[in-house]
Amino acid sequence: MLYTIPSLALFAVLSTYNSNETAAIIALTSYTLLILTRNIVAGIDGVPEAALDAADGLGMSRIQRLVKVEIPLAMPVILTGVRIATVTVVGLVGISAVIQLGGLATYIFDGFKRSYTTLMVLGTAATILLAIGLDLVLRGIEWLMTPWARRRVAR
Amino acid sequence: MSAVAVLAQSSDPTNLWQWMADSSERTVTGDIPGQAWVTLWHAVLAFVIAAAIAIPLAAVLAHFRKAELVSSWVVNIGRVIPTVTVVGALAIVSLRNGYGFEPWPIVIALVLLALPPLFSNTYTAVRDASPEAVDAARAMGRTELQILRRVELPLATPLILAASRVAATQVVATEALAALFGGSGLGRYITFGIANRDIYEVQAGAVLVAGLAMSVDLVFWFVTRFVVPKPLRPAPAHRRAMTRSKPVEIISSPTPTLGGTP
Repeated sequence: MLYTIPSLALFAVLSTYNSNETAAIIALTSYTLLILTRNIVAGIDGVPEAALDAADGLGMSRIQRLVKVEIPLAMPVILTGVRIATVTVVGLVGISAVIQLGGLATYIFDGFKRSYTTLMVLGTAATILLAIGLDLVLRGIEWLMTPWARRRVAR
Repeated sequence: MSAVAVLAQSSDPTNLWQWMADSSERTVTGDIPGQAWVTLWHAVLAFVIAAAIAIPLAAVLAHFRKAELVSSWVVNIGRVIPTVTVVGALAIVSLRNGYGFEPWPIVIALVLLALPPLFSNTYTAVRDASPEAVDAARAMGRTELQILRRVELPLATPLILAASRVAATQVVATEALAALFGGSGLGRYITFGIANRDIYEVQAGAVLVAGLAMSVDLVFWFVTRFVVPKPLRPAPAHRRAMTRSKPVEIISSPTPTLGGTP
C-alpha cells in the first residue's frame, strides 16, 4: 500500500514537518521496511515442512527452531530482500534531490535545467553503477553467509 | 472588514481538503480531473505497451524454455535503472528532437519500469505451468501454440495478473515524476507545491496520486476475480500456519487414494 504513495510526495510532505534529512530517512526507512518485511515473511514461510518436523523431532523449542532452523534456511530469501531494498533505495535517494539533499541525482536535475546532456548521463551512469556495486557487495555477503547454498550451486 | 476576513480565510486553506475544494482558484496547475486524466492516460499507455511487449514474448520464450537466465537478470536490471534519471534524460532527448515534454519521456520510462516484472513473472508462471497438464494436451494432439494458449496461459493467469497489478499500481504512482521534468499530471501539484512552499498543494498531490493508484489496484482486484479460471482461485486461509496445526499425515502412498483411508 505504501507503494501507491509517490515517493516524491512523501519526501515533500515529510520535509515540511522535519528537517530535510530526517524526512528522507523516514521515507527511505519506510520503503525499506516494506520490502524487508515481505521477504522475511516469505523466507520463513518457505522453510520446508520436513526441516520443521525434523527440528520438532529433535526436541527443539520454538525459539531454538527459529534461530537454528528457520532463520538460516530463510537467509537466502531474506538477503535477496536486503539486496532489492538496497537497490531500490539507491533509486529513491535520487528523488530526494528535490528537497535539496544533494546526491547523485542532483546532476540530473542540474543537467536538465541547463539542458546539459553530459551531466545527466553522468548522474544516470553513476547512480546505476552505485546500485550495481552495492548489489555485487551484497551478493558477496550472501555467498559468505550461506555456505550450504554454495555447495548446491557448485555441483 | 468582514469581507477582508472572509477573503483571507478563503485564500489560506487550513487543510488539504479545503485546498482541493477550491484548487482551481489558487493554482496554475490546472483542474484536478484534467490532471488525473492525463496521469491515467500516461499510465495506461505505458502499461499497455509494456504488457503487449512483455507478456507474449515471455510466454513464447517460456514455452520453448529459451530465456532461463535472461528472465532472472531482466528483473535485476530493471531494478537498477532509476526511473527519475530515465525521465530526465529522455525529456532532454525528446525536447532536442522536437517531441516536447510529453508524453513520450514519461511513457517510455514507465514502460521500462513495468517491463521487467511483467516479463519475468510471465516467464516463471508459464514455465511452471503443470507439466502433467502440458503433457496431457500434447498427447491429445494439440499443437505447441494451442498448448501455450489453451493450457499454459490459463494456468499462468493468477501470477500474471498479480504481477500486472503490482506493475500497474507502481506505474501510476511513479507517473508523478513526469512533473519534475516539465510534464503534466497529478505530480504537478507536488512539484508546484514544493516550489511555492504550499504544503496543502503537496499533500493534495500525494493524496490524489495515491488515490488513483489505489483505484487502479482495486480495478485489478476486480478483474482478477473474473479472469482467473475458477479452479485456480485461491481457497481462503491457505496459510501455512493453518495447515501446520493439522495432524501430520504419515501415510503417503505413491498412487492417489480415491476416497476413504487406506
